[in-house]
Amino acid sequence: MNSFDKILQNVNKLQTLPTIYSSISEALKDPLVTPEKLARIITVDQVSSFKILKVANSPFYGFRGRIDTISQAILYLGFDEIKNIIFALSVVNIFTKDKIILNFKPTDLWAHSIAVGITTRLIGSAIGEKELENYFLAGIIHDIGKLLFIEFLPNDFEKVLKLVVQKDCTIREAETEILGIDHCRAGQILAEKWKLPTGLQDAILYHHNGIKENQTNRLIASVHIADILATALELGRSGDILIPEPNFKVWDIIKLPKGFFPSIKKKLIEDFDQTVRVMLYQ
Amino acid sequence: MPKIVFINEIKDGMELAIPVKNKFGQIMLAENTKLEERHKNILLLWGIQSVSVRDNEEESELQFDDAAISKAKDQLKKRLKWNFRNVNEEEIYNLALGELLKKNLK
Repeated sequence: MNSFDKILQNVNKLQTLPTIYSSISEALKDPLVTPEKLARIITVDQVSSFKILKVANSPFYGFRGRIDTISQAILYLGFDEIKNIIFALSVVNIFTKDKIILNFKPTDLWAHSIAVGITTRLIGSAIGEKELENYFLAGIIHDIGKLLFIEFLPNDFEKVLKLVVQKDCTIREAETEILGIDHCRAGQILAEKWKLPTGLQDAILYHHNGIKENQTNRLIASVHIADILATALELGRSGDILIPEPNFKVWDIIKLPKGFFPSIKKKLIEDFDQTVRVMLYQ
Repeated sequence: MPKIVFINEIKDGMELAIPVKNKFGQIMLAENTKLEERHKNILLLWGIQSVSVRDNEEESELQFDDAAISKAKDQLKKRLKWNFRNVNEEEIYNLALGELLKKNLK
């Protein structure tokens, strides 16, 4: 059985998303759903409620320490953002965190993904994106394919990490050579299984290209650049040693002003430290 | 160096480091505009969540000699094998270099 088939088979065995996420998704299908009803569903799970409030009060949402209840969180951040926070927290808990391969820890990868999530959102905000709710989540899950490899193909993934060093190549090139499938495609298979919106599936599949065919998709372009910045600043670890080259066409899609990257650095690092603590260690 | 602040963090007298533009690229507030309390509501009304302002706080900029910079550039060349082609890419390069310099100092 090749790696592609192994991934397909194991994705089907993977633990489903927690009840709280499916209950919220179900409730949101009702166009007349009220914040009170959603708050009641969420607060049944006290551990999740606590974490949601912690994330909702993260500085990058701009309401630091002012959201005390789930109802307030829904009111300030909106249904979709709350659903995405629940999803992000659920996904982090589905994968094992203690499988260390050649000093490469899943928590390092999650930390990288959190940095990409925060940066993607800062880029979205800077380019005037109105629907920002998918920006943080897209960053969080962009490398989910690598977690599938760690979980289900650990021996092969160890070879991938060794090849990255030996050949001084990108992790994507090494994955293709050893596994015959890269983390972008593997992640997209899982996203499809979870029925995530097409926009998020595309962000996973195309985050290294930066562009889907000839489309001008701002979410994909933002994740692409955020991934490069997080790797350059070594916020967490992506498994790549090389800092990927930006796709030059992306700069026409997200026109960022001069001084943008230095201007976000301080905030990015502060938000990163706090969000890593909340999502991974509390 | 400019810094990003959320609208609720704006204080009177802060200066915009980067113009505020709408999604069509039209400038809503020009660079160097001195922000006041009244701007908060206007910005929120436009759906703007954060702005870039000049950081006037004294930043303890670290000084590095040529040898340290040269060493960090050599290290970075092993990880970053492309040449920057515009100001955005140059900023990413410089941030990566700055982090390496700080790391080497430690």
